Amino acid sequence: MLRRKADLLFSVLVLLLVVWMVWEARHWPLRARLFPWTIGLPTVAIALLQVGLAVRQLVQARRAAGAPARPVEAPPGEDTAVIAAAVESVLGADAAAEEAIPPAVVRRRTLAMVAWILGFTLGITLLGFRLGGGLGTLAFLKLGARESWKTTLLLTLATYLSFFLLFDVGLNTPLPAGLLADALGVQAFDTVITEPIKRWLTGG
Amino acid sequence: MVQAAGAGLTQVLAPQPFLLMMLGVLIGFIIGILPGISAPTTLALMLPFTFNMKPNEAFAFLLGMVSVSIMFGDITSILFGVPGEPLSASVILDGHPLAKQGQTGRALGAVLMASLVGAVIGAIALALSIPLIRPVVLAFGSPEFFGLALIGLLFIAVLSGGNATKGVLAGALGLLLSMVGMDPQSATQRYTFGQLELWDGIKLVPVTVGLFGMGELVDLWVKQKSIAERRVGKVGGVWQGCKDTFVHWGLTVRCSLLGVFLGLIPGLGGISQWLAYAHAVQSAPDKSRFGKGDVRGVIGPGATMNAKEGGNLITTVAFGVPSSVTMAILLGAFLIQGIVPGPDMLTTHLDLTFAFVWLVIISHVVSVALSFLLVNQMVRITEIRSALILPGIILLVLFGGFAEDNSLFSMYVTVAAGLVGMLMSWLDWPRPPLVLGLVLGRLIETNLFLSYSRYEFGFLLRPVLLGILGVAVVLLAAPAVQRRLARRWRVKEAYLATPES
Repeated sequence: MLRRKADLLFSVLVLLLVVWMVWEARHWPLRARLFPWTIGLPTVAIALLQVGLAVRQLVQARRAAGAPARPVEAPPGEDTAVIAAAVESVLGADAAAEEAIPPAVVRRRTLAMVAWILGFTLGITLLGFRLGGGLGTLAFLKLGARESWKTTLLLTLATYLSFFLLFDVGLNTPLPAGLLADALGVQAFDTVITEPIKRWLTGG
Repeated sequence: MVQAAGAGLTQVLAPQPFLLMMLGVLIGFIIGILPGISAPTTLALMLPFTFNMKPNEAFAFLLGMVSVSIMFGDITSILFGVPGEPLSASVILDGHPLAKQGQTGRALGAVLMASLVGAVIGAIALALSIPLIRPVVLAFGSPEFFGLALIGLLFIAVLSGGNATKGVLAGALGLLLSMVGMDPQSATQRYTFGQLELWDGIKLVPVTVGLFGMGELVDLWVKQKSIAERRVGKVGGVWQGCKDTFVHWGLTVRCSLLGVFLGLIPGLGGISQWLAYAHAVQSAPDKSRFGKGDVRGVIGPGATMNAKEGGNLITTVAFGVPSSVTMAILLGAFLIQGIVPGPDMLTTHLDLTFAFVWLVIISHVVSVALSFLLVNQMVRITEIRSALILPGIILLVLFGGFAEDNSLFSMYVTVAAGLVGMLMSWLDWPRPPLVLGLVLGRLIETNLFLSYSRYEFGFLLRPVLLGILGVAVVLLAAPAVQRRLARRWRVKEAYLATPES
């Protein structure tokens, strides 16, 4: 039911977006307006249809809630029966049951991963790829994946060095040091480490 | 033509492209064997690395990678019953039971050799199609290319799985997103909110990487384990499997040709392996072993899967109409490299088109050879826990967005596209049409503008365009009509079967 409601909401948002895009184009010269209207006007009609379908599905889902499920009948021919049996034996209910993860766990892990990705994004924005990526890796492996300190530190170092060696040393195009360094007016927070290594590697 | 074929081979065998192809093969090798990271995601993640390459180098790298990652998806299907690629699921049906019976090497040998034969047949089909298609493509004008691109998008939208209305809407949204930025004809700012970052439009790479990459990151974390729950012993009997491919030579060739044909039709890639499996069953005199470990159930899908790429390349190169999301991203690479598919690819850049033919063949030969040599070592990759590779992939996804134009804004676009993609996936909205719409948007707009400038709306009445539209309507309506007729037939039969009637 939640999914049906979300689908309806998403369909309405898409409809509003498309209507806005068509409306926004009304004052543009014909050259600029031609494509948005050629595509946009039929899309408004399709989006309306989709909203209608989503409403119907929501109503049907409400009615069907609690009603017993009807068995699916498919009288197979010989070849179809062979394929159906093969699919059932290898990918069927038993095999699926082994793989099943409770929906609550799926939801929790999905939200956790989204949070981690947002965390990495924030880390990179504030501290740049080298430090933000390294610290993100450290935090993820230790707090998220609960790996050992040895594995965590090894992979964190590998991440940090990959960015440093590839971009700063190899391509000589350092990546941005992040908003914090910019705000404080410093080149980067780790120049104490990177500069001597860079000088040593490049012989400068 | 022969000269162009020779020039294409020279381009592929030049040191730089050849090394990049090998690098692509190696990356495809590793990614293909890791489940969860599909060929389109790999391609999207690697696109930023091609920005500074020449066209032949970029395509050597990308095509080498795609060919192998598709082929390698079958390996995990056989070894662990987990498809490395979503499209390789049907190989599981007989490949995994064969592995359980201790015939792992035979199944691997059969699928790899069938893949190689399929790829070669697909590449030959691409080469042979060039002289046949060339006059057609050269006779087409902007209205026809406009119609073809729209229809290609419509096909992918309707056939890419899930709800057709949602698919068409997703494709249209992709087209609308492609309009963001400075209009190329009149320099009007469209949907930019006055933001400088949006003047150049919404870029393909950040959107694609986000749409596909983030969802797969979540999948990896949700499953939270390595795919190899048991160690794979020494893989033997590979040559028996290779011989099986030639023992069932007719099946291999038929399924390869089926793959080429299905590759020509946008949106049918997803079911090609299943159709090949169905053909293997249908054409077999003795069907008793299917599902229990019949090598024919491995050969058919293996051959089709790789031959399909040849068919896909024909429509992408000649008409600019990609038949799959992988080809849509490859088309994005064309545009990044400043190459416009269509007549140019069959005239000015004919050598590059032939280079594709050679690339498909050579990359498959190299990867099959490597597979036979290294398969025992490569399967160890599947023992790596997903948690260990996740931070690297998260950074690759975010960097993929950033690298488009070295801006954090593009990285945020990646994250936003990822969140929208996850929502779409949860609500059964297909994502490939959105990417295809974004890729094709500028091409379609240019062709629409040229058609309108020359003929006004009279271009819609051009006979070839009407013919294309007619064929599309028939093809799209056929399944629905067939279903309706079948339902009516069943009702009639049921009515006649009742005693009162």
